[in-house]
Amino acid sequence: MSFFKKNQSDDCTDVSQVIKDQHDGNRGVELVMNDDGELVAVPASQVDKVDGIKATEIAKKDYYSLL
Amino acid sequence: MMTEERLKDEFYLLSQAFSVKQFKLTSNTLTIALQTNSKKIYTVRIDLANHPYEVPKVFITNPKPLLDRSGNPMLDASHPMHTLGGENGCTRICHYGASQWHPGVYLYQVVVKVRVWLEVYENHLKTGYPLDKYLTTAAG
Repeated sequence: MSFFKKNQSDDCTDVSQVIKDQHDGNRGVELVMNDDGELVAVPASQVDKVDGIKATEIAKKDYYSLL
Repeated sequence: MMTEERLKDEFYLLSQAFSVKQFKLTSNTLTIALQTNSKKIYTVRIDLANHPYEVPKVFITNPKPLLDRSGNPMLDASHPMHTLGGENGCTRICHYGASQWHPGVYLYQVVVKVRVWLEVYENHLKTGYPLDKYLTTAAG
């Protein structure tokens, strides 16, 4: 389901890039904090099927101005 | 200070997002251990003295002090690094801006932002890019 493989060495770079993409208006991928506390990238089309906290939803509401 | 009802709500919401073994919540302080995707563990303290009426101060208490890629303690306010200085050797990080804060913001939301901040911080350690390459600024 997730874009990233667990324990991928450049995971934090990928996560950071998803956040930046969100800033830039690319809503194609959402970050979700799963039950293990891991931040995983999920295609926006599938995010409703995934359990967990929608991290980028929280982020973009207040902290991250997208436009 | 939080009402007892608010404290219960905060605990419930935190326990939905995090293991109750991860955090300790009192009316004055939330202490929580967060593990990043790289499996590093950080300890975070959130000062709740005026919660939920003011933006709570968030500190990274372990590692202490938090170091940047160059090995320098991150104890100064820094716009590019999204820090607000330090107290007692602990880095205070930026999350919500005052203009964006309202009493309807719950602690679990703050913690998720801290979790994101930590991931971007680790990216800084890896790449050298400042955090504001990825995070925008919380005004106010």
